[in-house]
Amino acid sequence: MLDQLPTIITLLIALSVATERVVEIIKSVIPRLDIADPDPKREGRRRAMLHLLAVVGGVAIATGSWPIVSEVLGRKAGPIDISTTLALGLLASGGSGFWNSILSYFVSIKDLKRAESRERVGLPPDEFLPQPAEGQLVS
Amino acid sequence: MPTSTSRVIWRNWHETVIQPVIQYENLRNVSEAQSTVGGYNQTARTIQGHIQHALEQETSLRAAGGGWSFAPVAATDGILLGTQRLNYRFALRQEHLIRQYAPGEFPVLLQCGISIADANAYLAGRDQALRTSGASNGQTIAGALGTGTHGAALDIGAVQDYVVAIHLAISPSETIWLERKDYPVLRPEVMELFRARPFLDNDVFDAALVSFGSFGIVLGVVIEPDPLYYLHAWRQPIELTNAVWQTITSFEFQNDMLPGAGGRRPRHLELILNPYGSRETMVTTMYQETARPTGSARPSLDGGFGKGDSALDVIGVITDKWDGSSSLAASLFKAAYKPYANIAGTPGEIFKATSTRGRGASSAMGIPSSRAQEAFELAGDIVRKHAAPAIVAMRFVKATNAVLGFTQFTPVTCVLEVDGAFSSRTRMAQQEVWETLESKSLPYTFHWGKMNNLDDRRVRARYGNDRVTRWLSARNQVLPTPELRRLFANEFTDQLKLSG
Repeated sequence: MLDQLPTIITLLIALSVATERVVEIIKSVIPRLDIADPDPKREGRRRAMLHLLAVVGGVAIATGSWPIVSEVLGRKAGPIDISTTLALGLLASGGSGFWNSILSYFVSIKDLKRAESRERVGLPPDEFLPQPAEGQLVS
Repeated sequence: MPTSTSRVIWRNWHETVIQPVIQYENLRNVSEAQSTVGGYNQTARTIQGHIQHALEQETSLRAAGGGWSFAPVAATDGILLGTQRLNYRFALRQEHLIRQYAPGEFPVLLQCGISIADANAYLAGRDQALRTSGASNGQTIAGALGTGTHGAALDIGAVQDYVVAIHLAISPSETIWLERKDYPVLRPEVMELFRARPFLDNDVFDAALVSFGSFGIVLGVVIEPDPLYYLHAWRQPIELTNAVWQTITSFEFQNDMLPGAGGRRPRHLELILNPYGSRETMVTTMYQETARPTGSARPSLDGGFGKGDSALDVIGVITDKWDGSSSLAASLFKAAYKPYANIAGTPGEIFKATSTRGRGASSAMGIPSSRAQEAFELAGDIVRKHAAPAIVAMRFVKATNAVLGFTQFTPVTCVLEVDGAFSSRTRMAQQEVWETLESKSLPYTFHWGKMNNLDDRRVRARYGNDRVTRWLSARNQVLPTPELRRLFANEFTDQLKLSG
């Protein structure tokens, strides 16, 4: 499962980038969504609307790209799994920046696992190859 | 010398080659804390023991190096030697050398397995630096040499162009010390210290430089580094008009058209085209300075869109399935290749990457400068046509003396690269680029370590009949018996009829 996580997170980054783009397009069509409102109440509603748009956009994109999503997730081709697309849409609405940081974390874990497996076959971890001191030409 | 044996399926770093091997041997020096001549010689004897064993088994023997090549150039189904721990380094002083060297320019002897990144770190401690390297540096020095790894060093060349001696194990009983006859470097007593037979020959040396492990097992190389220098770097979008192309391919840079030039000639020059982006191309320029320029920032050149080992893989799947996904690829590439300005670092600080972003598909072709613009533009059109998740880049490298070096076009070879996620769209685009270059009679060569469609006919057509014949003749001089030539061959050289 750990091995698959970076793949899933990368998928979420892709979905997030697409979702952000959809939200940006909507913001350009409805300019008031793009401008912060000085009234805290209305600003709260604006932000909630943007979150809602991101969720709806994320779910729509996950649903529309279901053949790709299911392949990346390693599932057999079949009908759209509503709960999966809903979950992916909600997660994608978190934004690509958030998933980028999560991905870095999991890649570090994967690097550690790779280092362990290299050690098992007699190779040192990539970062820790022994660095011998410089030698002099004497027999 | 301790070794560990395992029956494994060997994979290259970029996961494009999967090779079952009869035997995989991880080699290590007797002492990993101190480089010693005794330890080096003991490792050489162990390698010669493997040569003996492979001869008895009638199988082939190759060194895996860093596994950095995209092509199966290092692979064998016989015995594969893991050499990454063989990273001794030796200082050479004037009393060891025939040639006179200025302070700061003394050559060093590097054992075959030292990585380019570690070599740069070692040299930085001596106030020296490699003259050039690739953009990512997990290759071993022997692997980088054997495949003609290059950077974008306009006036320097590729890795093989600063190698001045090669120590090769060629049989169970013999190692040779190969140098150019007209450029001897080490005194014979030093070669004797390493129990090597001196072999001074211009043609053989030039052929052995880029020989992808086919002339024997490289034990060590002597390189000529530069005194430590800084690269003052810019990456800015520029519209590549005919005038800009003319400036670039004339290699005269008086008109300050390039980013950050300020009257300086770039040491490193690279173009990166996002085929789905604007009309502008990212132009990376780096200028040599003896000290870090005042006011410049330290390098932190990490691309941007995430460090996922699987990122390219996922992009590949997505773009294969979804026709409208090129805009997604454009966004991702835009994030990965951000502009920057006024950054300075040593070569080791700038070119420090030793990991990649997943299963990639990389192809690089050497092009003469007279056809560079045409090749770059047609590659961009083809990548766009296939909506491939790939970028098109061009780097500029001084022509090499290596007989089969792919940077053979004088005075400067323009290296056209089509790199991207491993997807059928990328592969189709690469294939069409190769076919189109051929159909337009545009002369080009292939990077040995990257994807290609070489066969015995194409290798002669691309590199020249005469060069291939000279290379084979030199190999016959180094490996005089059919058994030895068979020993250091593999499926790749068989396919190209280079096994002799």
